[in-house]
Amino acid sequence: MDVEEKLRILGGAARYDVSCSSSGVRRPGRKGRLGDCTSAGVCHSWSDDGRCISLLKVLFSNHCIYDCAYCANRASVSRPRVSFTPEELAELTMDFYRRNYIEGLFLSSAVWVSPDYTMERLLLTACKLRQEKGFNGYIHLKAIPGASPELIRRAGIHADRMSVNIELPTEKSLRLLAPDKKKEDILGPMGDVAEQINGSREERKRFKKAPAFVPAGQSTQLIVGATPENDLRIMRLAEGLYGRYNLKRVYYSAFMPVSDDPRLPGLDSPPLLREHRLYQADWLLRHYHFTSGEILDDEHPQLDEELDPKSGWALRNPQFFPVEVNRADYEALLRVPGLGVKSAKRILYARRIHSLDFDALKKIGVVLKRARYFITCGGRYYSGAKMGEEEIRRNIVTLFRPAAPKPDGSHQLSLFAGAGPPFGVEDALSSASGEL
Amino acid sequence: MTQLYLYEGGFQGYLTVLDMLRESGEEPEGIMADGEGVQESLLADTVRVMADESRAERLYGDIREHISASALRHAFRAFLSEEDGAEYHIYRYLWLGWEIGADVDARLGDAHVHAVHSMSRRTGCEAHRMQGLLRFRQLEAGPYYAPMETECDVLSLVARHFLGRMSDQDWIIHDLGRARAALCRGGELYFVALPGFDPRLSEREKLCQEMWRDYFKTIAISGRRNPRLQKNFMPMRYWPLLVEEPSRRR
Repeated sequence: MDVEEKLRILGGAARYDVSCSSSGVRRPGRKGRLGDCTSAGVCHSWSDDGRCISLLKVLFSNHCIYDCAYCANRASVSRPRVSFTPEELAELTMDFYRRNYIEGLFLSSAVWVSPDYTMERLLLTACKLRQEKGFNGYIHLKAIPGASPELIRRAGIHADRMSVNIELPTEKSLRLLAPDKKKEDILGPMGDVAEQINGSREERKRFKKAPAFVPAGQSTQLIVGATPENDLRIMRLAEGLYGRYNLKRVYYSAFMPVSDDPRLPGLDSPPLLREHRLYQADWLLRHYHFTSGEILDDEHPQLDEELDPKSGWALRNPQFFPVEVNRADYEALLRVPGLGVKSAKRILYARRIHSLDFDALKKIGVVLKRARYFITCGGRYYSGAKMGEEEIRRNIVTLFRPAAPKPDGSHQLSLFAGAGPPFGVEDALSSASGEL
Repeated sequence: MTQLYLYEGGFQGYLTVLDMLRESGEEPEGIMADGEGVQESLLADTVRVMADESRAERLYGDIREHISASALRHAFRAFLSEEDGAEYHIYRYLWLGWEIGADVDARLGDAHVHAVHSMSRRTGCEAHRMQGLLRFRQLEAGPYYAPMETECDVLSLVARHFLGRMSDQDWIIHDLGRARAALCRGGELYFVALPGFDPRLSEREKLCQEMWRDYFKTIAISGRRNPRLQKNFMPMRYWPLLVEEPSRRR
């Protein structure tokens, strides 16, 4: 089979992996080598589903020894099975990179022959790119669950980012849908990678030339909606992963029905809005210093689909509002619905020179659609914005309502557009979050 | 009588005018690039200015030293936006800068500061966009060729990015609208006038393009189709020069 045909099959098979980020590492170009990395990353295109294409995202192979119910490549499905060779993939990556189609390679794989055998193919490909082809761009490698620590350690020397997908948020769900995978197979490599990253950071503080291990950090992915876990469990897991494993990103993937397996829920369409709210809540964890317990609790275990999680928190906690923009500290500003990191910093910067009224806020680019209900300027509310909780809620919900459902029942998420780059466990898996 | 300044020679010419204004201390009637369509004014004398490299360089250094490196960057990028009135806003922005130094960038409520910042941001955004959306095509003769059509004059910024990234290959970035090109040969960068160009593609190139188009199609999840989001991130005006041809019905 020629490379074009393989790319069609193995590119298509990789489409359910969400992560496509090329950020997190800065590496200037070097003479005689191809490529560099910028810390913010670069998106190169956007496919018809509106997701960015930054890396050449492919599977090394779709031969799989496992039979996970949620997966399009599970062993029991009959479909053409193919594998690349390391040379073919390295060549393809170079060709695409030279034409500026991509920032680099995101290489994943089904588990072919054995975890170690598969991990070795990924490692060989990365070696070939770095050493033979002089490739200096971005490489994201999957750590194959169950692969030996030594192989993963060697892969991490060539990779900028590594990831192990948890996919299912609890061990119970894992047993049900992915009976061949054990939670230790997933958390083991994740722990190894985390430890190596820490070790290499320490090392590099003392010896600048020490090799960097996975400098852009590690990420993972959770499938949302295939199993009954609520948002609170998912957020607690994410919080635990950020805290304990020092992950850079947790990605959420709305479950796409790929089979009529009786163990899976029958869904008409993927829960895209729920996925979107989880990403918003995730941003609150990572950039707005919220805890999962503030965003959700046992009384509210599910994110409100009608309302963004920050507005939801603010309406439940009126004692923190209104916030006076001319005096409030950074942390208080960050918690105002509608104010982002940039707006909060701009307010701090601009108010050194003169005090701010609503006009001045608009001039420095602060959007008041949501924020107007939660702030004062010089002690005064925005005209007409002082109102009760119910009324505020109604206004925000109306203002940010997603476009009406289409005839086929799926939502067209106009919300996504303004949300910034999407980017981007209970029981034993909950050992990750430290609670059982 | 006030003076209308018409400069030649791009940013250098513009800096030369500013240096003259700084010396004379007068308020100009207007500052514009000389060329077709320039309206001279009955109420002002027209002064034509040629770029003076040493004057331009002196002012360049002074802005960095007496205002800030970031103000210099904003001024340069705002100039590259080629928006109407950019020259006057930058002039007022810098003159405020002579008075209050680096704090000029905190005067977010000032109309000229605001204008310069937003023009600078627009240029920066488009340059960043082109870092992703530029597509090189391998010519029969070997080098890689990328045509580009942009609103702001981002060629110099984009070329600098690719000089670091693609230094092991020879390439040409062609700004079709401004008929200029950046060439990288043997790791050295040159800027030249290039009115037209007919790229003859290598055989390997055709295969790569085919594979990329296929990949672009297969990577999308059909159950999540969202053309509006796609266009939001990737405005349609850039589509004609993309190899992947997103517009093609599938």
